[in-house]
Amino acid sequence: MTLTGVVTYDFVPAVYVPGEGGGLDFARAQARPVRGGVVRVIEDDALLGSTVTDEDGHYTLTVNASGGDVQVQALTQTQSPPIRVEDNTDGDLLWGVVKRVGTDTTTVDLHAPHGWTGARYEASQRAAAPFAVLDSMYTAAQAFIAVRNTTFPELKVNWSPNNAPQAGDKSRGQISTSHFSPQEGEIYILGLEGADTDEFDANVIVHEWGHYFEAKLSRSDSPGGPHGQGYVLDPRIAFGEAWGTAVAAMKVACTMYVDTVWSNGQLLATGSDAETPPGNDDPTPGVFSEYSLIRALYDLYDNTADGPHDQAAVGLGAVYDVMVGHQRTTPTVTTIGSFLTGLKLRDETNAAYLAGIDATVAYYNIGSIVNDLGQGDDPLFHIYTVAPSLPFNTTLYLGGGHASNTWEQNQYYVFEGTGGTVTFSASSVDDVAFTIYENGTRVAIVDENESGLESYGGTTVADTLYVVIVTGFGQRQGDYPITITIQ
Amino acid sequence: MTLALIGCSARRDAVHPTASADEPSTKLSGDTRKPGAPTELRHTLADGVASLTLSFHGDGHVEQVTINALHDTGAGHSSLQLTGRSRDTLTAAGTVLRDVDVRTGDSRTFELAYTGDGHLVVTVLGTFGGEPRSRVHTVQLGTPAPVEGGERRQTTDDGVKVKLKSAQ
Repeated sequence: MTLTGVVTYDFVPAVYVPGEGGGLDFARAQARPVRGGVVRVIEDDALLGSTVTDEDGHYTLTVNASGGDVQVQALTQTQSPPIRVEDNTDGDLLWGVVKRVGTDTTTVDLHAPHGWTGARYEASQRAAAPFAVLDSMYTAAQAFIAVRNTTFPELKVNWSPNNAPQAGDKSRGQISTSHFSPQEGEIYILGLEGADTDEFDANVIVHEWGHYFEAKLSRSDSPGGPHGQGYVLDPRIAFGEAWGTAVAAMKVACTMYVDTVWSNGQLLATGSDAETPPGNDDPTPGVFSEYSLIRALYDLYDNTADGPHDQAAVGLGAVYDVMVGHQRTTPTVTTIGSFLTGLKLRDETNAAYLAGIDATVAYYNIGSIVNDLGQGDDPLFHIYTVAPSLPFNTTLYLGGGHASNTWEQNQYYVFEGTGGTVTFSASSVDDVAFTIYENGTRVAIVDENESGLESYGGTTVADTLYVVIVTGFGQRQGDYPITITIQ
Repeated sequence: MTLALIGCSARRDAVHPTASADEPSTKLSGDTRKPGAPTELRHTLADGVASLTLSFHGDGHVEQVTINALHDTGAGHSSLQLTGRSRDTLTAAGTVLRDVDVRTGDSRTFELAYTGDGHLVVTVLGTFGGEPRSRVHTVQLGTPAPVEGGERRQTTDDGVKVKLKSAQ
């Protein structure tokens, strides 16, 4: 038997208008094709054949059935790139929709509805959600595939109607929030109706895809944790989180990051625009501001000049090249400094190109950066302390009472390997830790005590750059001293 | 690479005076987190009383904080009765905080009596860092039954394990 058909799902736009609010606009739901999706024909429990849909959701499959129970399944899985959307609360089962077919059937269309009744989701009909997640991930990957010859490693995404914004056991849906887990290499998306559902929040989903891209094809030294407007962040997380939102705006072709939530049973939304000029929503613009970096990255990428400052239009291919190239191999750590250095190296003798980059980022209070240490931007350059020779001793003061992923609680030390043993020590009455990078590769995390001395010694490679990130966890308000020794 | 001596650093210069996010001393897992209102919820459950402490890790203006229950329709029903010190701030059912400015380090505590299984949903809406932001926190009460959509679970002979809803 030869079966043909089309596989579609309901896409529901998440909308937000500043000053007015928003939510999920079910009235404007549209059937979208499931692109590159796996379609299988099963007889009883035996696989008869499988294929993938085309970019319009169409498939054709010829199988030999034997008169048993024949069904056509469309799964939340693509093969190129390889993406799977599974239920983390039910044994990581792969989601899908199914139709039974008769022996004379030739056309089988499968549609996954959103399941919204007008007041709530009908659980048996809420089939579109994992397909929406799949399609957003597919969109993100295909945008890079369209400009560069790239192969993506498998991406596993976890979505469940039980996924709730509570920390705890992920197998029970307690996923904290939609996030990418570097330890697991997987993405988790919220789905609990009446609390927070992210399956149709495309920019939210692609933001997390951006972290997967960093982890698998590029590099991120971000410590993770809370972040948002007004935060003065460690520059590693400032860049990493800005990257996620900026690349979502690039891929989804919508600069508004919309997040829908539920409040007392009502579906609402908040949003922020990657193209919005800085106003009072960026109180501390610059290299430690996630929102400065979102807009700087987007302005560098896009070819729409939204002001006289916007003099760069590097495009998605250049963004990809820098992220998989220089950003991945920087001998320092991943910040806007390493990204801009990589971007400038693409055409380093072109004065107009360099000036365009500088003009664009200067609007967001980012300096004319000339190397991975951020030289050219004083605040970024000064988070690095370079030891001109060893032994090196100093007293560092960090800002107590701030989160450990903020500028206040981090300082970077740089030295060159000697070929012999070097010991790095940090001593404080408060809790401190440090992370050692050797030529851009993390080699040690030292966090043995809640106060006192942290120390690590090892053989270094001569003429190789070492970066040691000292992080404080002191919670009493005010500066506190840390004795640093490198010898 | 050319390295330049910045200085044998003593006291760091204050680059930006604005407070940034604070949180209790916890080590970060490295997991990312989607942007939202800078809040954290801690809770204790004892003898049918949920004590919720909502902490703010950034300055801002709270438009509203709502608390409501998601009933576990499978195994029973939850009901909420608000008790405790926050009652005088109520302006509408489920709204426990409205139209207040908050500072980094502020917190509010709410106590609620409950019965049954389900989730408490605490939703924060406000303006933080100059932009509208939201954050939802949930607290599991008892053992709510997982959401079931009548899916068919199947393992085919090639080892693929699937969870299927009927297509339209």
